[in-house]
Amino acid sequence: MIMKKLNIKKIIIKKMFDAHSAVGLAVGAIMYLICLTGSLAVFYPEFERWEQPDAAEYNNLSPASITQAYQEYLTQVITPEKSVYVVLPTAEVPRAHLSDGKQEWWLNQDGSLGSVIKKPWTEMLQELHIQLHLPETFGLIVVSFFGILLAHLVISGVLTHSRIFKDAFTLNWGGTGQKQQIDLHNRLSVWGLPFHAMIAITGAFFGLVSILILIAASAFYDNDRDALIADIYGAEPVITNAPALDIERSFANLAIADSQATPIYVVVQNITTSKQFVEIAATLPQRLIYSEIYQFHADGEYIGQQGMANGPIGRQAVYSVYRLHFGHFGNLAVKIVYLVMGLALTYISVSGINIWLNKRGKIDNINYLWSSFVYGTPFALSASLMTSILFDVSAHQSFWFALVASLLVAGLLKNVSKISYSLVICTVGVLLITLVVYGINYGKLILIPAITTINICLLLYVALMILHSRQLKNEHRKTIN
Amino acid sequence: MTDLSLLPFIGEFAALLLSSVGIFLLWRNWRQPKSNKWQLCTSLLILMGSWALCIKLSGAEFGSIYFLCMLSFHAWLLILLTRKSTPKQLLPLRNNAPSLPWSRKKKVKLLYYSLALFFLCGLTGVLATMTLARFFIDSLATQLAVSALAFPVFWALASIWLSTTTKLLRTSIFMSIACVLMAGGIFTL
Repeated sequence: MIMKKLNIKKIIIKKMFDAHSAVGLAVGAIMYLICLTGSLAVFYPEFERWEQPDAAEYNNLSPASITQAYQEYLTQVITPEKSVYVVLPTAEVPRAHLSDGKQEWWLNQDGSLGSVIKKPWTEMLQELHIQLHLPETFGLIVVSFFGILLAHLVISGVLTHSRIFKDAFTLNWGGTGQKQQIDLHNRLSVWGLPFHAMIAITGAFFGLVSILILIAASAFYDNDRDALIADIYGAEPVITNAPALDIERSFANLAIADSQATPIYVVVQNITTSKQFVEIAATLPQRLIYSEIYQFHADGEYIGQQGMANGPIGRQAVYSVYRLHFGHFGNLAVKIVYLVMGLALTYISVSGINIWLNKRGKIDNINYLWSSFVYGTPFALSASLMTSILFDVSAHQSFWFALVASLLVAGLLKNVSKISYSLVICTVGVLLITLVVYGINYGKLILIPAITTINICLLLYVALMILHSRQLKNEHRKTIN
Repeated sequence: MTDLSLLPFIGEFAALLLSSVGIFLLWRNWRQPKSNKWQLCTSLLILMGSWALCIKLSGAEFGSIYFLCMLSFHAWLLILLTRKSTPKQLLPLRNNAPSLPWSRKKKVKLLYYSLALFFLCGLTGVLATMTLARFFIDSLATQLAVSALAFPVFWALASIWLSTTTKLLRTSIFMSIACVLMAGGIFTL
């Protein structure tokens, strides 16, 4: 009886392991792309700054300047959009910008509109992570589905790992590399479990919540999706005969309503209409929610807060998802932690497929394509960065062109270490050219501490890649001998 | 007058230290051939202390995140430092039969499983989350918010169940009936 139970348990674990492998193999490549770009996208505000180092930088934008910015915007456009945002400077990004959802301008400290925001590479990186460069909503749903599959992999991985406690701290290094990969795959997965589970759940939430909204709206709200969203996120005030805008009074009243709130952006809803009103989003100390939203009449009279910080617990949880997923809280150390954790997940995706490839015990086109994809993606990201700076070419197109070219290299070279080595050297070359051209283009601006930090990080990455290329070259020599 | 400006730094350092001591004790206990319950409990208590300190310093939300990140980093660092190195060798080529894990099953089964993963497991996951939320939470807005965050887990669990069962058809029928019942319950109650 006991033997039979043990046998059934073994069969179930074996089946679960097969499912883990099958799903992992099916989605490994895309998962790698999503995880790598996600790890880098944590630093998107810094990349935006790097792409346009000549925008005005300051730590404070006065309410009078914000009013000026809105006035300039209204003279600039023929028909204003419904919601117009002014994103305020922070310690992290000491520059402000105005956005109406279609156009964006950096703001000078006096509130005048500066240059149009141009961040082709950062946009490409974000869109690759969020929607894999597919049409917007469809892409978002596809990527969110990968969140579900990641949750599947996390849960099935834990359930199949029969030696989870026995091997909790084991790491075999060297040898044929197979044990090293298996141990790293398992140790990184197990000890990073809370982070990986959080990324899977919050990642799935972004796109697939629409399915839930669809079902819930038809079940409880007579198909009125707006009513459902208002119930979860809080409703907008109903305004008629709105007075003229007075942003300065709104800020003065915010300081009275909540002295702990740190404003991060202002939005004028229904601007220039009789329904216009002001919302100021502000972060609160020790709170993970993206922001609390304080609502004001156009003349600055305080209406109330939307309840993101003190509303129903569900609203607070849902509004905390963004910062939790993207690591945008705390200081720079949090972002670095997110980068390392994200890269660990990236390594797990790659090592999962490597383990399977090694188990096959033979080297063929699949190995060539896989190594060219793994090394080709950083190359394609670097190449798109270079072309967007050097030639003003579409970063999206150059990324895919470079990635396809890397895959073609696999077909030509037909040697794993040679493919990896060539692509690493290409990445190093491309990044060095980018840095030189960037220095020539922007001159003294590269001395801005934040810009210098990014350039030093890129140089460090180049140095690491040079070291890695030497390792790959040695491996190549060994295989020849 | 006492200078209190260093207090947060001392607190953060203490939390870091407690977490590393906790992980170190956990590792020491793990290395022994027979687990020592007292040592295990002490290490867990120290880790709890570190967690509590993090919460005290940064609030429940950030504190818990910082603690979990610290735990991962300490464990990884310890694993890296205590790794067992052996000289590098080339992987022997054996030319095994290229066995894709899914090629063992019939292609029809693979197609069915892929479709079920999207539709049946998805629907089961979403409806199961909403049903459970309706049972245990009063406010409708909170029910929906909790469902929105929990449904990926239920979706994943449904797909794992489907992939491990030996009775695929029976499980699928069971899931479909459960979906109809749950949907009926959600829409009518």
